[in-house]
Amino acid sequence: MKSEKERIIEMINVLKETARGNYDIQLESSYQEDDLSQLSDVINKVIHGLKNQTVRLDYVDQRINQILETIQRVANGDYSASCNLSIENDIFDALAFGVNMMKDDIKSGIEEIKCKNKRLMQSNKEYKTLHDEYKSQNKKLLLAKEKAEESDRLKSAFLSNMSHEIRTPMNGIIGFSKLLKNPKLNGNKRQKYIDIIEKAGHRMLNTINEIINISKIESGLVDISITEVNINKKIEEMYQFFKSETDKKAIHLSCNNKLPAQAVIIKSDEDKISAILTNLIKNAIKFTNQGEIIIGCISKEQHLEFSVKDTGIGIPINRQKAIFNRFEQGDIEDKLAFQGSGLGLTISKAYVEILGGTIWLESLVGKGSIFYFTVPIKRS
Amino acid sequence: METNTKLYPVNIGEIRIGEHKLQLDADKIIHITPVGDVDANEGAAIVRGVFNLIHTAGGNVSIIGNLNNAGKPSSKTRKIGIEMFHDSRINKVALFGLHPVARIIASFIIGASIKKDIRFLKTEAEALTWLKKDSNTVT
Repeated sequence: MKSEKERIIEMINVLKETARGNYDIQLESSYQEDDLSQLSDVINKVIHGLKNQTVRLDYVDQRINQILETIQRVANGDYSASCNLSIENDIFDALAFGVNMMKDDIKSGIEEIKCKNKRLMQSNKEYKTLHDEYKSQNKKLLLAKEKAEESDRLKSAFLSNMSHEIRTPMNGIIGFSKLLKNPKLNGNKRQKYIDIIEKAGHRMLNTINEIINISKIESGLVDISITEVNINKKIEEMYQFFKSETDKKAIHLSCNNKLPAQAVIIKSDEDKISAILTNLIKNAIKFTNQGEIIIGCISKEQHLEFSVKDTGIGIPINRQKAIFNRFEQGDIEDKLAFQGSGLGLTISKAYVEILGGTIWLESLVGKGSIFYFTVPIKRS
Repeated sequence: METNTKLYPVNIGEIRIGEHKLQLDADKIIHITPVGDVDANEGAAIVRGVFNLIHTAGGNVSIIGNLNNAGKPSSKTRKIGIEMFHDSRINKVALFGLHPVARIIASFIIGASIKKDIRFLKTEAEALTWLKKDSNTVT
């Protein structure tokens, strides 16, 4: 049996252990029914109670930490996180449940927003595509409008020019015809007036012919008549025809004909070739004030290449394509300075293409121009 | 709404959807007893079941929901349930449950609902007493 002092010391030691956090220690039961035994029982019960509290606190700590961890993960965007539930259905389960449901609602809300954003971006993209399409269409419409206005302007200019080309010689014919009625007119003047009327008539006829030709071309009613054409003879004819005119302007006209004998006669439309050469030479004479005009022809593999070279005013680069369009002359700044309907080159280009060839030019302003055109060779 | 979760009529006035149960009593009160989690498909089936029972009742009904064994209703399930409660043929809705989890579930449902006659009580007896009261009680 232990003494009272020993029993008290034992209690003190157990209490010290308990104070250090050791709740697994208990005092031994005593068979003595005294105050120290009662004290010993009470101490054991207190230690047991403290142990239960600690277990409870650990449980609370653990549940709250787990819920906090879930909240932190959700806050960082991890919606796979979920609070654990127990079978206790206690207050912590209720808290965990609530956090889980709130997380589900947040996740659902975010997904809905993402979906809406995606649809908005898609709509934006579609809108942008539509917008770009409209912009492009507008641009095209604007260009078409400008083209139409330009075409309108050119047509007006053409009509004005045509009107001038017809009225001027007609006025000349009428005017000089009236003057011819004067019985007192001397022979020289009479002859002069007759020459003027004749020239005016030719000029008007030329204009009317060009208008008819261009109408035929545009209606697709141009005939081709293929016969044997002696090219050397044709060039010589051109030379002889225009010599007097060039002499009057003190322009030197020459031929640079380098055709071998076997290439001289081809099968083609003689009238068309004449018309093209005539037009090019007439233009060269019209736009040349001094220098020379050279008519040339060389044989290439499958075609003949004709050329009309002059030392005239030349054509600016930005007009070199446009002059083959109807209504336009080379220098549109001074439209009335040169006589003519402006249809000659258009007709020439159409005839060259009907024959299966091509037409082009080289030109320098102030130096002169060379017009080329080809005619396919069909041997006799 | 998914339509492939089947309803199993047990008796006239009683329907089972998996572990979940619907029952119509003589006082035109529909008892909903979910057991465990309720996903969106099951939620939709429960709604169909409730509408079947309303038709059987032939008129306006009240609803009592037992949350004692309920699991987590998904976000979609809650939306479906709340929409169902707003049907004009449903007068009052009482939810009950003894433990805190039941209270939390009820809070989410009541909080999202604009229906005024919806309430949470602790026991079935309290819930039934409230439902059978003549006057509407605001939560």
